[in-house]
Amino acid sequence: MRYGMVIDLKRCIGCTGCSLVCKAENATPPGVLWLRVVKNESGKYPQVRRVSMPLQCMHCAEPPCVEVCPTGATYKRSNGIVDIDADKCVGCRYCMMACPYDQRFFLSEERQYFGEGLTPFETHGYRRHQQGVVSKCNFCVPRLEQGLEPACVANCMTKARAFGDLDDPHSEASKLIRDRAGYQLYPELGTNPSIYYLPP
Amino acid sequence: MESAQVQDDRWIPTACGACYSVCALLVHRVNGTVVKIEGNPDSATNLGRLCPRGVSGIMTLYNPHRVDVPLKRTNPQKGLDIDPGWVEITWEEALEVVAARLKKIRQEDPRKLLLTGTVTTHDEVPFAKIFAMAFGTPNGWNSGAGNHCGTAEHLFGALLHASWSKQPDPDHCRYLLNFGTASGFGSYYCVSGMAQRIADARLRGMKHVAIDPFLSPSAEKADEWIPIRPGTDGALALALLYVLLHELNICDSDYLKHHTNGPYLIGDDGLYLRDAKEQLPLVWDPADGAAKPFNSATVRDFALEGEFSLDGARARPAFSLLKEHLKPFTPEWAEPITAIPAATIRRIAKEFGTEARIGSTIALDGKVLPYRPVAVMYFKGAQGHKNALLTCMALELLTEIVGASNVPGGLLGMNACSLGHPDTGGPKWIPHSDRDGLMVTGYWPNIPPPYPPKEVKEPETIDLRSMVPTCPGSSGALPVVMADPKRFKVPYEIEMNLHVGSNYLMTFANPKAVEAAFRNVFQVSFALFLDESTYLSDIVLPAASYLERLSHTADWMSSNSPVGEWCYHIRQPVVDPIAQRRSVCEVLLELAERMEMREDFYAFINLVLHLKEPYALDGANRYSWEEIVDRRHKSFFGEEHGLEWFKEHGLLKWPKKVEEVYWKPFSHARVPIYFEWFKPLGEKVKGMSQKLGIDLDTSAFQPLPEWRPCRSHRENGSDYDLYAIYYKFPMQTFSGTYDNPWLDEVSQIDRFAYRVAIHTETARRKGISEGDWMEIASVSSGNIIRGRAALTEGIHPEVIAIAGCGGHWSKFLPIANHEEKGLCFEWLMPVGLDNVDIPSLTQDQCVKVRVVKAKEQG
Amino acid sequence: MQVRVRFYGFVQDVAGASPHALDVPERSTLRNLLELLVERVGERLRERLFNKAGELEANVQVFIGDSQAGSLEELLGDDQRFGAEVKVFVLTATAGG
Repeated sequence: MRYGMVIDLKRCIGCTGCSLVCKAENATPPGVLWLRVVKNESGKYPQVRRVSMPLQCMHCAEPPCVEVCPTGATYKRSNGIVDIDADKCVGCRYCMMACPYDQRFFLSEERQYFGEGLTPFETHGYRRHQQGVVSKCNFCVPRLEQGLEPACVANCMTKARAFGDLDDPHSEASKLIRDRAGYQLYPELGTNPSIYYLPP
Repeated sequence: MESAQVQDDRWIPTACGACYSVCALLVHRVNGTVVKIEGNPDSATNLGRLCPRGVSGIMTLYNPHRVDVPLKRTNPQKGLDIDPGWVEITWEEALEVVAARLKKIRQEDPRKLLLTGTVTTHDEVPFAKIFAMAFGTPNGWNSGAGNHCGTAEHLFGALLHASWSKQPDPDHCRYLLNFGTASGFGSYYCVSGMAQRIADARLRGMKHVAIDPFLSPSAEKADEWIPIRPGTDGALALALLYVLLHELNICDSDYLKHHTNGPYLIGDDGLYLRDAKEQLPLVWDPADGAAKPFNSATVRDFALEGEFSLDGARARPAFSLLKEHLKPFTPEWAEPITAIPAATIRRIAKEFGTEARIGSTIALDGKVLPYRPVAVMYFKGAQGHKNALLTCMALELLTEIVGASNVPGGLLGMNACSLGHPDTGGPKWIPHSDRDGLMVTGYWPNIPPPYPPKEVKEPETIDLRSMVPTCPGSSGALPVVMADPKRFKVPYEIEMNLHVGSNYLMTFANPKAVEAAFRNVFQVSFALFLDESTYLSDIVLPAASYLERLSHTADWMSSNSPVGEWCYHIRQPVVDPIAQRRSVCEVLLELAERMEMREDFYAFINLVLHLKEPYALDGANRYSWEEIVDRRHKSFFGEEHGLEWFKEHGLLKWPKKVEEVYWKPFSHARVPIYFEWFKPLGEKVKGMSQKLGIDLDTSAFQPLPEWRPCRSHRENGSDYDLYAIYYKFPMQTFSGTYDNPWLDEVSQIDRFAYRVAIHTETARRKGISEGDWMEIASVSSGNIIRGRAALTEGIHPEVIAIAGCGGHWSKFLPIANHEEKGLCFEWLMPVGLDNVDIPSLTQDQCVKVRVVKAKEQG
Repeated sequence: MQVRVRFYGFVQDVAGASPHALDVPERSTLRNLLELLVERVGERLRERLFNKAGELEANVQVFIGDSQAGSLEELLGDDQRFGAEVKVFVLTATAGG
């Protein structure tokens, strides 16, 4: 069992709905954006392409972050999800230097969205975020435990995301990768990400 | 980490209010706190998903900059950057003052009350409209008259599609010719639902051709992007029509004969020829060689071309006049205007005309229907010009000529035909026809619909609409008339503005000019935030946001998906209104009590909401808002589907019928391809304007399209070499979301959201590098705005593009108010009748600018 | 017979908010009644209610008792409606962008 995600760049419209529903689901503080969207432009006028690309932790099968973590706070679960045990993290940020995708975030101090005290939402949600530790996308482990898909998958307006077992050749995710020539980001680095993109 | 004790943990079905798509929500509330907003998977409208604004509503609910208590101004001086000197007052004092003012004005002259509303709420503003109706004023103005919405486009929606607006058929369209709209790409109507449906169409193989001055969020997803000079979409449409009719000989004769006024005979005066007895429009039956009334049972065929003689007078089918009229509009003519090569125009016409598959059919639900899988979409940008009426005409004719109107695969009115819930038959609206056989829309959000047109009358309203009945909604002329009613022979002045949520000062045009028109009016605002428009308020009332209130209606004509199922959502509060916020509708009911206006208010509520017995309101009783909402739901959906049922189930849905979605083949109503009544109407408008000593340019009231340059095409001073356009992007809704810190966070990451897109070579020529501050001066408004450059190859070299409505200056919006956070395009737009398309009262949104690198960088 | 007429909406500035009481012949139609009111109130009322063809404007709805009048030629004094109040509503298109 290896959880993976497929992001169809032909369906994706770069709306950032995934970026924000992740923030809402996980109550991430300011500056901690576990999922972001970048746009890549190429070509010369008028033959121009601009492709939206969502980025998040790649949940690599060969995760460099796990290798370098001195305390074992960052670890790979048996289902392939790369997770962080906040209680073990000492905030050295070695993992952030090691990650070639730059998808890890350090919370140095309490941050508020409005600077006028925490909103009720933040009071409720920031309990999950310790200061002085690193955090990132964890494929919404609490949702998976309830039999739900990650928030970004469930909410995507264009249904650009699929989630499932990459070890199962019959899963929707595996089929999409096969049928639509799914590819990984920076495959030459040998990290073997669990997130695949389908070409735009 | 300790987990808090959970006493209350519920998911509550309700409806979003961040824009007019009204997506269905499931909102998670834990111990009284909203912790998550998700799409309701049961909804046939948004299919369980939400746009970025929808998921971010939590940060609007809990934003500490929200208006929490009623406020009164203490500074007698009003101006767009003059602090009003707000002090807190009690609701009691606020309501007393407001009711007293309203009562006084109603006694003196109810016309002195203006209602201004936002387009994003479909409960508060329509309910306020009913209040204003009962009050007795004809004066109302939505932000939609401004830079952000369609005006003429809605007129043609009514005339051709029996709807406020349209969508491409996401199930069957194969070729989307998209003049700059964002349907399916994060804006427009039915945002979340259409995003999925259009993505499905994209994967299905629908080709998307984007005609757009900028590689916008929508054009990015197109198969082909064709850059166009702003304001010239009408010229392109005319050239495409020329190629279809004069080079390729492609048109849907059958459709034209039976579903349009194409065969109607036109005399040399440009009007229908009518039979002597019944005065019905005549057609020529070539099978019998005779003229007959259009609806005669003896008609065997309709002539679309030819020249005939009727009692010595020349008679020609309307279609032949159109065809003749199009002769000059060749691709070679269009090329220098649009900056699109003639060869490209010919190729697109051929692709479009071929893909229209004229003559083909498809069987749906056992019914064989015409299959025309091409859709021509256009909205705010393409129609927002001085020549709006004529441009819309040309764009619509592309659809009509190939018969792709309200049939499978084509352009669908949203939503033209409703046969009602299977149990109750409500709500019901069906396009029908008038005596001339021309289509009359079954439902319209304003009273009356634009066709048949109201007579031209002396000014009754403060916006010229009583003189120009072809304005379908809010008027682009309102601030001009309001600033000088005497000039327009309006026999009163606006004294009070009942202001419901619209940031009109920022979202219409030049804020300075708008401020001048509104400065001396007593303004009572229902507001979520102290935005720029509240700088002119006298009293501000804290409004409950959509998570804090009950609505009598969440949905409206255009929020439902064009296909699939009808789906009516409840909007119920997830939390009690925070602080002293109150529901606008409840406050209006209370004001009506204080003004002793209950009987009138209830009478209009019954009429407008179609409350049938036993649900109609009796003026002798007083009803709570809950009771009114309950009655409204039962009246439409039956005794078992009242408020309690909706609170529990969240929505009521039922399948759409084929004859609702694709209504045209089932209807005898004809739509115009020759706009016969425009010219005589224009003459009446001219006559009235001359009688009153007002100079109105009515020359665009024509039955057939042409292209006329906008002011910006003629302003060719050497410095003013670029066109500025504005476009929508998915991270913000109009001006209202810029104080939401989540949306701000993603907007800061996006290259273009807060900056000004400019062509790399154009920038280089001007010595501008990425991120440089630029000064943008409008030749027509005289104002200058600043913004940072975002260089791109994805823009026409003569264009700069500004996203959304940033550039906030209200000091009460600390997140939005920052020089790095976008620009307010409206500063570039002048206010004046020169800037308005007179036949539709659409504002010209096309501006010529001078762009230089700012001396002060940062 | 005596007929009471009330005006609602964008017409009260012309016809007032108070009910009008009129004496009309037995066989009077709605049209007759409205003509009498125009005589009483003034031509501004005609402007507000009628188009040039002499028909009610599309935004004008008239009720005799609880039922909406289908045509101006309807008799006021038929059995069911005898003595019923006539209500004239002038609706307005106050906004919509």
